[in-house]
Amino acid sequence: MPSLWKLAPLALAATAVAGLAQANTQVIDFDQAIAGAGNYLTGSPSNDWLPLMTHGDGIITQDFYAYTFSTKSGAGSGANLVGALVDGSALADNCAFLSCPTGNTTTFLSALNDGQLDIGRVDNGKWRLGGFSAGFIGAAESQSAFGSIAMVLEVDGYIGNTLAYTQNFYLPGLVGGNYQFNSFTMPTNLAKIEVTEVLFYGYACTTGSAPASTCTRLLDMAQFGVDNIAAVPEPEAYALMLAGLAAVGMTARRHRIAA
Amino acid sequence: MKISLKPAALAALALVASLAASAQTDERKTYIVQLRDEPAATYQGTTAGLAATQPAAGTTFQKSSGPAQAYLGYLARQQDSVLSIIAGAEIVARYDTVFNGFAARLTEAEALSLRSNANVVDLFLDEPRKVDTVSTSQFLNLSTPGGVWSTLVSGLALKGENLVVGVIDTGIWPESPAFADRIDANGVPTFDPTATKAYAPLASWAGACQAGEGFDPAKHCNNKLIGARFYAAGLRANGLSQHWSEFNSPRDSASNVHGGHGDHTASTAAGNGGATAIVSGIPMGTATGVAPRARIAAYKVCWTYQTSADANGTNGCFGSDSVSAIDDAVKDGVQVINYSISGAQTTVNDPVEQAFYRASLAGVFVAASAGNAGPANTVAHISPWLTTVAASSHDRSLVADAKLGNGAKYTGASLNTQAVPMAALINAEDAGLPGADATKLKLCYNSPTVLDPAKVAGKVVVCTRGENARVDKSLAVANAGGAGMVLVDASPFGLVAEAHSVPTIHVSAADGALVNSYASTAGAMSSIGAFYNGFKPAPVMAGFSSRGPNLGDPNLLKPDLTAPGVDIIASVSAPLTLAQRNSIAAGTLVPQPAWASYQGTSMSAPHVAGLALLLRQAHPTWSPSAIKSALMTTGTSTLDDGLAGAQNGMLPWSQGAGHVNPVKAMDPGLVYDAGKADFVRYQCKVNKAAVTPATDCSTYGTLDETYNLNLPSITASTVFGNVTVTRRVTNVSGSTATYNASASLPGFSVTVTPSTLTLAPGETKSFTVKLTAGSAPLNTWMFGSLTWADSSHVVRMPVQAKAGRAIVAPEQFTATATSGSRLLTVKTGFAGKMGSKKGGLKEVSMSAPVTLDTAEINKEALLGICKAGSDTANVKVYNVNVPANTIAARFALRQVDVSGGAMADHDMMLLAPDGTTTYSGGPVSDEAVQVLNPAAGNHKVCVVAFGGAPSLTHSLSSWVVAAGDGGATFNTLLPVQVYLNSSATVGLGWSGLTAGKRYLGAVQFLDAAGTAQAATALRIETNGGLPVSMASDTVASKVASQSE
Repeated sequence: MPSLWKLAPLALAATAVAGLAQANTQVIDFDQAIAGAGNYLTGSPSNDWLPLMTHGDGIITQDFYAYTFSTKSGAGSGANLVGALVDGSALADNCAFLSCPTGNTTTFLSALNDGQLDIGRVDNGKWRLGGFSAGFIGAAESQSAFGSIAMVLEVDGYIGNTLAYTQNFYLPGLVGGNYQFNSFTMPTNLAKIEVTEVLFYGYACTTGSAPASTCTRLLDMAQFGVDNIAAVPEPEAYALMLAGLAAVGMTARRHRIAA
Repeated sequence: MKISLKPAALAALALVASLAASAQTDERKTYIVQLRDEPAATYQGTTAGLAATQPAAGTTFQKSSGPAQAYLGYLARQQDSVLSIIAGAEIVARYDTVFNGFAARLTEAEALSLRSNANVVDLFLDEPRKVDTVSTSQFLNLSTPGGVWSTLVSGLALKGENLVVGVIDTGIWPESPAFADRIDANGVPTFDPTATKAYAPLASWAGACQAGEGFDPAKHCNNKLIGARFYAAGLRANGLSQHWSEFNSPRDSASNVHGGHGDHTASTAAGNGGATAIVSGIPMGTATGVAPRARIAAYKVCWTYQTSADANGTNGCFGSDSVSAIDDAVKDGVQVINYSISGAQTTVNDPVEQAFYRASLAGVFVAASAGNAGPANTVAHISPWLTTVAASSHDRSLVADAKLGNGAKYTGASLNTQAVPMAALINAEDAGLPGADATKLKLCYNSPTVLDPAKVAGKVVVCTRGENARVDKSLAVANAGGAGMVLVDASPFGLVAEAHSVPTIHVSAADGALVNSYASTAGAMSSIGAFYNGFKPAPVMAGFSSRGPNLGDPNLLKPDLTAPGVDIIASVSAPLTLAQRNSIAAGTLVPQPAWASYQGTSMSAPHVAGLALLLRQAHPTWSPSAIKSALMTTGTSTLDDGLAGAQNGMLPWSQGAGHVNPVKAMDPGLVYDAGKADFVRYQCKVNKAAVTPATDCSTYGTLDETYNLNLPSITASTVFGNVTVTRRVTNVSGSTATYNASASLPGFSVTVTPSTLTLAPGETKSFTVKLTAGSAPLNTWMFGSLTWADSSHVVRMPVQAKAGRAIVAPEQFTATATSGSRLLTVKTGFAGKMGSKKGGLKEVSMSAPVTLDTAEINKEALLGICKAGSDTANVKVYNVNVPANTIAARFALRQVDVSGGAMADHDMMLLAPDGTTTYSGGPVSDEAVQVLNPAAGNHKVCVVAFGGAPSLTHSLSSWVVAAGDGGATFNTLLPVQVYLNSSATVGLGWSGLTAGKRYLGAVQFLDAAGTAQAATALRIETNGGLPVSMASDTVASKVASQSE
């Protein structure tokens, strides 16, 4: 994975459109992640500090798990902050010394200090990512470093250990004095691909200004919040596939009758 | 790092949270309540059907206009709707012009119900503030040939013609010729009704003259003193009653008690010239204001009120009354406000500061005093939209000579009129009654009697300054039959020429040591000559002038500039007996005018208010920021005051951009202007919760870094590697000009881009200033300057910056929940692994109750007692062992832990082993001192019962948190790695606290080498979210009169 990212002019065509609202889509919103007992991931090394999350910590919500981790050497579980669940209705408390994105008053999951998020089904089954909402998290006093695009958010879909796709999204800089949550939709072709887990990680665009920004994941400034992950789970996929097979069978039968 | 904060000067955090455990009481307190809609002075027509009411540049607010009447009516209905929630509460005042809201007596429950109302922005507890205290016109080159007053603009001399200064202060003494509107045949101001009228009515004036005790508008207001109002609702709401020396009217109170201040400031800003000032019976020459043709409107908000502790009462100014006065002043149509009253030191989120914000947007220039708690870092009034004035000396020197028998001659301050021929000289230490207290003897106390007449008769006595009033010392010498007094100064007060009971000369501490030494020899003799008008090098910063840096925003310079504030002779009220007071109140006695020599930043602020009037007359459309810029960029350095380090008077923390230079300020060439967009963006950065309307932060955006606010100064508190600062300048000269930049800052390289600017008249251009840290030592302020020059202008601004520590973290944060977490940004100036150590959360420990007698012991005297280390009748000395590895130590008093009622006043000081002090001297007993990473050893916490009742009982709250200290569950989560010139997020979490307790935890952040670079204190009060005392730590009140 590259640690530097040159924004190409075409990359400005960010796909910030309304959220996916399909029937049968499960929306993972993290709103039950803090309060409910038993939400901590079994075998997770340390959940002592929820809502703060360290390297390797995980939570369970709505049949999905979400891990936070760092790829930096020396990352320690129970010691190094790489994420947090943030109550968007109390940013004045939670984010008094941080610039958290507005426009989301529910609980969201954040990656901090160049951390990464890893999301998948607890039963390790397949699912498809339809979209999500996300916003950049800035430091308390470094807002000047970011232009119209604050961060490139990379979303990688995996099947087991095999990379199935990579897609980039662009989190905007300050709007009206705040970073904002925006909804993002996966391109149609990628939304069809079944994966077992999805990684979210960022490149903070700290120097220059778009479209010639240099975006990096080596300054602790790649930080973002994610919420409302639209997941189409496997059973429905099976149902669709079965419907497809049935159609094929019928065709075959018809062929057979015709023959 | 040291901070001294009030229990909850502490941000929105404390204000939002849970209230479950709070012990609510039915006790009512005065709150100032801010509502969401914009006040009329800055309303721009954003509500459908209501037109804009903000005045255009060069005009004043028009309260009787149709749009203003409509909008004021709308605000009144909005206020009525909010007030209906608290129908049972007494309403103290309502505001609509510079502040939208009201002051009311509320229970905690009512305050909470208001806090949750969508129309309420914030609540502020109302607390008393204090007033801070003639040849300056010549010194300032106003009256000299070719000076400012000889300049003509539109055919009128530049003396403040047809402009009005609003003076918010202790009231007015209308008998002073400074406030007359007629002149006699010699041009001297007079109240003779047959004399020539010197002023015509001012058509634009919408103010009023209010009747009251000893104040008849028909007699006492005229075309010079065109307005006089008084505001006592806040005083009374706080249950205080006026002292006998007061008048329930605009009239100032008796000067032998606490009066005089308001006349002094008003006459300094805009008093008539020409009348002879007589001080203590001695003619001192003619007195004049800085803008002698401007009109004066007096707004009385400071009252002498009774206290059980002191028959003389005390004088205080409630914020709720000040906001009423500012509201009216803008409505009335003043162009300039003078505010020589103490103020907030750590925030712009204060009703008075916010009222001044709106006033400035309505075009009103505000001069405020920096405070008299210097040379410590105590500067007040840190808002960028007003001009904060420090105090320095001027060149008049009223001196006399003491000639000793050994031939030595010492010159000191004096108003002595009767020369004393050579007489025996004796140190007070050697002239005591048997058994006299040695300290009181040295200080020449009059009561108790300490000087022995047998030893003193006919001699000149050497007394030392401190504790008791200076005039008390000469009275003691007179009562013992002495012939004269040599008063030895105690730094850093400075010498005072004043009338004494025996011929007196006030010499410096250094000269005094030599006099002391000689006086202890056998046969010592001295004479004291009569005073004469000497010349002294000036200006020199006054020791008492409060120093920066800005305690609320380290990227913004305060004070802004300095002006004369030492030995200023101006009008005051007359001294009165009770009988005289009653006759004046009844209208049967016409009192005399009076003058006195005062010193303080209270005296320097009205010099700047007067200069602003002159600038406003010369340039009617200039904004308050442009006027401030003209005064700052043309300022000149003061002379060396000899103080060490960052307190030195020649540095910007003391003198700001420098001493005012009026002739140059009239034609500055360029100005650094700032207006609504700039200040909204600034407040969206530092005070976002209070920005109204909140949509302004979207409309105007948020300032990225506060050092980018367009001020005529550059201050960068943390430079990792480099910072780039932006500024813009506007050509206010009449012709196109090309300016070249030159800049320097020791230890930094400075690059100005572009380095040449060509500007047409009225044109504005931007430039950047890149500061790159070179050899500058870490975490040490460096001082330099940036100058733009063309062929006829030099536009200079101070530039100060500090190369950053390896880690910068928030000094503290607060919370109210029993479990929770916080995410913090830390700035990092190194690459590698960051470490941490933590301690706590520890519960408060309370001392056993201690009862003390009250005494008005100021900071310096408290330091002396604290150093001595023994309890006195008035001071409790707590010895606190601070172990190695301590991260945070905090000591606090709360009003609820103190007997003696709402006005019980304690002050406290923390004395570290290395002699550094942290002082908290608020108006009541909500006091706190807190230090991070303190040195190990014995720290002394000294609590003084200052006033409010004859004796007071307190319990001290203490926390000492060392690395590894246990307590409630508390953890720190760090980033994996940190990076040079970047920032990272740290997580702090806690759990398992008990409701209704007060906890302190602390974390220390270590660099790659394991050295502590920063610390953050975590204060958790699990007892509710009401606003607690926001009183500043100012001690202005207690040295304001400088009588000791």
